[in-house]
Amino acid sequence: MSAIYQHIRRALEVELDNQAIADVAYENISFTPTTGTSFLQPVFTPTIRRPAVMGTGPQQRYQGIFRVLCHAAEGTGPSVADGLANSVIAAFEAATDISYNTGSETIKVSISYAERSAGILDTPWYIVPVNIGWYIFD
Amino acid sequence: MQVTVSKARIAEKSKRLETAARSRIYENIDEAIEFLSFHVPVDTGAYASSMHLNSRGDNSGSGQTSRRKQRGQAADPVLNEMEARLRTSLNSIDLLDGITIVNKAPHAKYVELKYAIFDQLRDILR
Repeated sequence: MSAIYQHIRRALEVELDNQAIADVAYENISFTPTTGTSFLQPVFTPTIRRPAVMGTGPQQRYQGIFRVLCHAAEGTGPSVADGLANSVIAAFEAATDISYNTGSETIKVSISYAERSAGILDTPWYIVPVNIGWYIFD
Repeated sequence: MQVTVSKARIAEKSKRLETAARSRIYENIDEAIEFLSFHVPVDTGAYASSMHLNSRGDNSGSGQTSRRKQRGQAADPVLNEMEARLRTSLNSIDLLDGITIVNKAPHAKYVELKYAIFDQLRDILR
């Protein structure tokens, strides 16, 4: 159980990396964006850890959001960020499972939804957030 | 053969169903308020003070700007005030009509971009 969050994060980040949609600025890793070049910024946000069943020593249901902030250059219109968001949503379509080999076992992170919200200008970037809802039983 | 159902029994069952539904919704919203009271970021306190719980579809409420306000406010008093206000609203709303949680601060969208408060709330309540 202790490493489950790391495994979930890795599963989602590896999947995003495999899609090769754009450069990725991972959390707590130095990243210097190139002006005018789009990039993705994933943020791993667990929300719930609850027993899945009653009784002692139950399996836990973990749930959360994998936010992917799609950055496009300011002043270039919405289409670039929209395109990035569409690609991310397609890569993490609802009702799919993402398998990840931790070295000792293979876990499956299930995607419950993938949706975007309105773009926002945060100079020098125009950002479209995509929220990917995930859950796993462990 | 014939079955007769008493109107009084249906009314009684309907009432019990409503009470159960109200109780379940109350638990969910209570959890949402609990989440907010732990996760809402506090700097000037304007964002927390602009958080409102209304009847469904009602997005009214005051919105405070963070401009010209002292930064680095202690979080506890601000969050306690917000929690108390939201709980007062919770107890005055007919929950079967649904609720709307709204933040009217002008900078709410930037707080959302950084902290994803409403995105997390949606995920919890989904």
